[in-house]
Formats: sequence, structure tokens, C-alpha cells
Amino acid sequence: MTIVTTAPHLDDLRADPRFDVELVAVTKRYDKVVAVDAVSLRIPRGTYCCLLGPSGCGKTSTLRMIAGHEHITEGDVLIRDRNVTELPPARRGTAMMFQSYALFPHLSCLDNVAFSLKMRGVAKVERHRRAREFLALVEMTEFADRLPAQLSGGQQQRIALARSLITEPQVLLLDEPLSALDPFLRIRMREELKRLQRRLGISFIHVTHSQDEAMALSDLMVVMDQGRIQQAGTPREIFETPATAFVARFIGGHNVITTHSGSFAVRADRCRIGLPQQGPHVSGKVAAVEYQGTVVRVALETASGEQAAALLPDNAFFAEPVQPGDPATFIWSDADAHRLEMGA
Amino acid sequence: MMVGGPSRQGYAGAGRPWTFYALATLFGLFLLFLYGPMLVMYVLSFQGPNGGVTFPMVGFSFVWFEDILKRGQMANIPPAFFRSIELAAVVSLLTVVIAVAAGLGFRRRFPGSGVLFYLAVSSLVMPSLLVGFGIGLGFKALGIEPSLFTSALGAQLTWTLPFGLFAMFAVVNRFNRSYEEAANDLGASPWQRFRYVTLPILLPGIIGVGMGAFTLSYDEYARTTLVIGQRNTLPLEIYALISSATSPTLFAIGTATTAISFLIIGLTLWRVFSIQKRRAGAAA
Amino acid sequence: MTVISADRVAPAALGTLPRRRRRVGKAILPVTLLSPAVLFLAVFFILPAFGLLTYSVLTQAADGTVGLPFTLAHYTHFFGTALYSRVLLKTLEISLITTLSAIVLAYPVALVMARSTAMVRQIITIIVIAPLIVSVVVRTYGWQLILGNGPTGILNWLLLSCGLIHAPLKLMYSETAVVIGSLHVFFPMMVLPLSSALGKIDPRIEDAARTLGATGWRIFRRITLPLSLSGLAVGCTLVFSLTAGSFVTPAILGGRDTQMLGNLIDQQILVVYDWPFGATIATVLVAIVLGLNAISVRMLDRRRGVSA
Repeated sequence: MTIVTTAPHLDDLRADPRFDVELVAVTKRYDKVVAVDAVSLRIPRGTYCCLLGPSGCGKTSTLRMIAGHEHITEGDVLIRDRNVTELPPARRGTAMMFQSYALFPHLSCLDNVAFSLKMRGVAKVERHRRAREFLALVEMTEFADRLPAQLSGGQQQRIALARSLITEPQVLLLDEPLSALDPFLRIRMREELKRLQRRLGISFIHVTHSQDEAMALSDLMVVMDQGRIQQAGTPREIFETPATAFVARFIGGHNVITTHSGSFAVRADRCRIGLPQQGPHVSGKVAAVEYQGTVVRVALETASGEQAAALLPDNAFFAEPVQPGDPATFIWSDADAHRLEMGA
Repeated sequence: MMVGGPSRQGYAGAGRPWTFYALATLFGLFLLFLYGPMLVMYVLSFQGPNGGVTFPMVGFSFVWFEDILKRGQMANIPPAFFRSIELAAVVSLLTVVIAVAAGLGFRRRFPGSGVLFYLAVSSLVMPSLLVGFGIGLGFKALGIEPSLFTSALGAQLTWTLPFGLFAMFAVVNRFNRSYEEAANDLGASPWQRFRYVTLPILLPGIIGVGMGAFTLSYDEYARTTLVIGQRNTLPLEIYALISSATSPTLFAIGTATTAISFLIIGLTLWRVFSIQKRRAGAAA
Repeated sequence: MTVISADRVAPAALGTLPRRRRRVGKAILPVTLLSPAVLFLAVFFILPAFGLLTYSVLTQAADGTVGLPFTLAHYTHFFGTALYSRVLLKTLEISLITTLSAIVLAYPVALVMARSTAMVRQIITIIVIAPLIVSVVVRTYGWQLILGNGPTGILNWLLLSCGLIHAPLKLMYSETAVVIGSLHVFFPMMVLPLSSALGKIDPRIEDAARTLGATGWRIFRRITLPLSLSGLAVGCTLVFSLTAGSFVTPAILGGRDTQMLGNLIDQQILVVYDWPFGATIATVLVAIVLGLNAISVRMLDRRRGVSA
């Protein structure tokens, strides 16, 4: 069974209007293949939630099931206090931003944004007026009459945002929204998304495979693998106390050390080069030394073939530098070793 | 049958190697092969009033074009022409409607989807004459007289529909599902989705299918000939003329029909390109 | 931080709406959409084909009516008479030569199309397809002018005036003329599938081969050609089938000496009025065409299965 966490409140098990989204044992099966395996999760009101995991872990399937674009094999999805499992996407109170943006190529930006209103039968003058409001929200007012093909990737994304937000959803779902952007733009858009979410006060559920992105954006970070939630919590909780070896490795910056008393995760920046007598340690040969500006990354390979890495502050390293091939020992304090669960 | 896939740049070198000229010559010969017969006919259609049906040209005139409009002994062109256009328009419309419906329905694989595919392929390669014959037999057995808008229509559709189907399958395949999901997300009903999203985006492809069907119908001979009933379409009238070819009128007809075909195609292509150009967007 | 198991959420908590309405509607729509096409093809294609088959085994009475008893006499008549066998063989021969010539002619064009920029490719596509706009009757008649026997045929006139030949060639009303005409008409059917298949070959494969030391011809033989086979198969099937069943071209260019099955059928239907026999010949032709199709489809499927 999977683990579910809530934000700081201890709560009981009623379906609770204090949550924006609740997944109850949601499963997705394609013929024999189980893509999402009985996932349960509660997302409190107004949360920026990231679903993080490698390709094929089920995060996108989960998102699409929340959106209603994918049929739910088993389980229930609740939005606020309504069971939306059998409802079509338009009636769930969700809006989705697609990875490819899916802006209608034959409509101007204004018409794209106004589309949902047109479907509801709102008169042209009125819907254009409201569409302009939302164009202003995403700072794209002067592009109202352009066609999507005339816009850059970042601009298209804003139009897609406006188009989704005009439906006044209770939850906004984003499918890898930043993947198609170049690194600079990615960081800028990241900030804007966070600002927008704060301003609107609704929940965003954001699927990504980048742990940097997830850590920077999330109030609630959900790490998935093989159709299951490995761990859910604040980014800080997950980084400081990863639950399983998978999470420790995926989130980066951790070493997974296996001893006779079990598996442990030790943060790479809490490791130093020292001597075996000084406490918990691993010994081996230096495999690589990488200068990274503020830190130097030293990679170690033990006799049994295990890998470990330490991130040393630059002056600490250069005080006593090592070279690839040198024997070395990484040490850390007991307090920095975090016990991992077996399995998962 | 659209071309696709990765492609390379052409020659970018400074000088042109001999292979380029060899290829160019071959290409020239190839063009001659493709267009020679028609060019010959176009030139000869301007034959002088005293000239015969072969070279040399004896003067230059429009005499034979005027001849088309007169009711001749062997053939009566203008009514046949209009009949051809009418039939082609109907065939084109039907092909589009049926092919679009089939293209959209075909997207999800389900048992029996292969059946349609093989049916279409077989209908295509089945010799035209036999299709006509078969339909003629069928109508005779049912006691219905073959006529323009029943049997001929059906016979021509067996030719245009497979082409239309294949073209639509290709177009629909390239259609990004996300557009439809986005439409769903934004509250469109299935009909709204079709009318405001799917159809407009597919429109250039649909126009192409309609245009192709029109052309195929307009030029169709073999399937139509046995089931046409009493009144001929244009290709059939022309064929009747060939056996009694005594004057360049025949060439004039060829030139005229080609000109009309090109006009229609040209207009349609221009329309399609202008739509695509708008959507692809000029540099901002 | 608290950890809660959400194993059992109370049923009452599952919200205000009932669950699990059956989704029946979904399957109906594709069927409705496809039915016009299937229905039409079934009525206007399967039924006629069946009608042909039936007619070929019925007897025609002296007064022209067709009915029982069932008989295979028409088939024995067809295969037993030297004249008809000759026509059958000639049909196959012409179709084969046309197909092979089409391969030779179309391959370079398809290669150029596949390797060019999109703009060039579109232009060439238009050039190749444009002749289809002109009626097949008109086009074939143009060939009659060019290949005309006697000094007034364009080709003869050209060659004579250049002094390349001394007496006019007899090209018209011959097998050669029919092949040329058929080649002209069905050329696009070979080029398009071929260029589509060639276009799907990743040019980097050929680059890789070149860096490994293979020369141009080798690359073509070992890499390009095999990878293009699916397109080649489609093109060959189309051209062969269409040529074998063609009627207009051999009628205009073939003359009395070069008859194909199509002309024979036309004769039987319109002139001799022996419809059962016409249907017999038709069935033989159809059997050939469909048989060929089945073989090539099977071959293609297997290839696709292997490479998948």
C-alpha cells in the first residue's frame, strides 16, 4: 500500500473540502500492463503539487486521469467534495495545459483564449472582452490578433495558460510545461508559474521529470516510480529524509550506503574526506574529481564496486586535494545518515 | 501516399559536378516524356483551317476551338461537358463526406478495420472495365436502367473513394490528438469539437481530397462507359471522336478540357496554399 | 509530519454523485462513421464481383437470356483456345514489361524527391501528378500522334530529319506502343509509394555506411534498395494490376494485333454480346490481380513484422 501525507495538519478520513484533489486507490490498466497502481493522495487547497519521476513512472497517466482525458480503471478522483470519476473533462472543474500547448492553429490568440466561452454560448463582444482580461494577466495583450504559429515557445505557453485559466478551474493541470523551453526561459517561466499560482490561490498539479524544477516549485512534491508513489511531502522533507533508495538516488545529491544493519542515505555535501577511525565511512579509490565552482565533486569507487560521491567546499578540497586513483575514505556523522526503507 | 521522413539538402557545392548536368539532362528527357504527348496536342489544336491531323502546321487559327461549340455529327460536346462537371461535383462531394467520416472513424483500431482497408485496395486495382461491367450486370438483374446519377455515379465512386480514403487516412493520422483533447477540456461537445476544431484543421486535406475526386471523376472513362446509360460524359464523347478522327477538333477539345482542369485545380490549390500560409504564419 | 494510510475511505465520503455509469456510447460512433464507406464498397464492389463470378458459370441460351445450368464450358473454352491464351500471355507480358520499365524510370526520380528539400519535393510531386489532370483518353491520343507510323508521326519526323534513321519506324499499333502508353499513364503510381518509402530511410544510415568505407553503388545495393522494398512492392503491385486491367490504352495504341484482356472483355460485352464469356475472362483477370495483391500484401506484412 502506498503512503499518503498531508500538509502539516493531522486529519481524519472524511472526504474533506479542505482538499482540492483527492485520489483514492486510483489505478490505470492498459490490457495487462499496470501503469498506475492504486495511488492515493490528498492535495490541500491552494497547493503547488509536483508529480516527479522518471519516464514511464505513471505521472502523466495520473495527471490525465485527474483531467478526465484518460479512463480510470479503478478508484475514484475527488475534486473539492465532488466525485468526478465518471465526469467528462469539461465538468470536473479542472483545466489542462498540454505539453505541446495544443493551441488551435487556425484561430488567433484571442479566439484561442475565448474558445471555452464560445463553447458555452457567450456572445462575441463579451467573450472577447473577458479574453482580453486574461491576455493581460499573462502579459500577452499585444498578441491578441496573431496566430499561434507566429509566436515563440514561451509566448505560446502563456496563451495556453490564459486559455486554460479563463475557465476558472479549481485545479490547473500542467503536463511537463517547461520541457520544450530553453534553460533560461525555463527558469523565468518557473517563477511566473509560481507567482501565478500564489495569486490565483488554486492548486496546480505539475508533472515533470526534473527534480530541480520540482524542488523549486513544490509545496507538495510527489515522487513516483513504476506506477506507485514512493514518497510525498515537502521538498525539504524529501531531500532531508528520503524514504527509499530510489527516492534518494532520483532526487540527487545523496549516497546510498548499504551496511549489515541496513541501507542508509547520506547527503553528498555532508561527506568529508577523512580516516576510517573517525566514524561511519566508506573507503575506496577516487574515480573522478570534478570542479564545479563552489564545490568540488569527488567520486569514489569501493572495492565491492559501489559508487559514492562527496561535494566538498572548494577551499576544503584544495587544502588537501586528491587525484583520481588515490585511495580515499569518505566520512560523515551518524546524525547525517538517514535510514532507508527496504524494498519499494 | 505522401512523402515524408528526414531529408537532406541538395547540392551545396561551389561548382557543379558533371553528375549534376547528367541528372539535369535526364530530367529534361523525363519531362519530355511526361508532357510530350500533351504538348504536341496543344500545339496542333491551333492548326490552321486547312491543316490536317498531323504535322506540319499549316497556319495558326482558333478555328477548331470554335468547332467544339457546334453540334457535330459524331459528338455533341457542350452538353457532355456540363454533364461531366455536374457528375464530378456530386462525386466529389460524396467522396469527401464518406471519406472524412471513414477517416475519423478509422482512428481507433477495432476488429474489422482491416476489412475496410482491403476492400478499398481491391476496389482500386480491380480493372475499371470490370467494375463497370459488374455494376451494369447488377442493375440489369435488378431491372433498373443505368443512368448518369445512379450507376455511373456508383461506378465512379468505386474509383474515387479508395483514393479519398487513403488520402484521408494519411491526413487524419498526422492530426494531433491533443487538439481534440484541448477542445474537450475547454467544454466543447462532440459536434462543437468537430465543427470548430477538427474540421477547420483538416480542411486543406479535405479540399485536396475533394479536388482529387473531382479530377478523377471528370477524366474517368473505363468505369463509366458501360453504365452511363443514354447520355455521355465528356471522355466518352471524346473517345467516340477518336475513331473517326478527321479533324483537329479533337485536339482543340483536348486542349480545352485540360485548360479547364488546370483552372479548377489551380484555383483550389491557391485556396489551400493561402489557408496554410496564413496558419503557418509569416515572420512576425 | 504525519503519515496516514488512505486504505479505507468511508463510502459515505465518496462525494455526492453516483458512480460507474456504463460507457456504452463510445463504441457506437466509429461504426456509424465507417458504415457509409463499407456499405458503399460492399454494394458497388462486392456485389458486382460476385455477379461476375456467377455469370461466368451460367449458360447463355440461344435467345440471349442467361441462366442455369451451371457450366464450366466458358472456362474450358477460354483456356483451351489458342487465341485467348495468347491474349492472356500478352497481357501478362505487357504488364510485366511496363512494371519493370516503371521501376527503372521511377527510381531515380523517387531518389531525387526523397533527398531534396521540401520545396523541390513538392514541385516534383506536382510535375509528376499534373498529367493525371488530363484525361487518359486525351493523353493516350497524344501518344498516337507521336508514335504515328509513317513520316508524319512526330518521332519519325524528328528522327528522319536528323538523319538518324532512313525509313519510318513502325511503332504504332504494337506492343511497344502499349507499354509506352501504359508507362506514361501509371508512372505516378510507382513514383509516389517509392519516394514515400525512400523518404523514410534515415540518411544518417547511409552516412554511417560511407564512413565505414562503402562506395556509392554498394550503399545503394546493400542499404537503399532493401530498405525501399516496401515502397517498391506497393508500386509494382499497383502498376502491374492497373496495366493488366487497362483498356483504353491498348485500345487506342494497340490496334488489332495487340489485344489485352481488357479489350477482349469489351468485345465480348459490346460486340459479341456473350456476357457469360465476357464475365469468364473478367474473372480470370480479377483472379490474377487479386492473387498478386494478396501475395504482395503477405510479403509486406512479413517484412513489417520482422523489422518491427
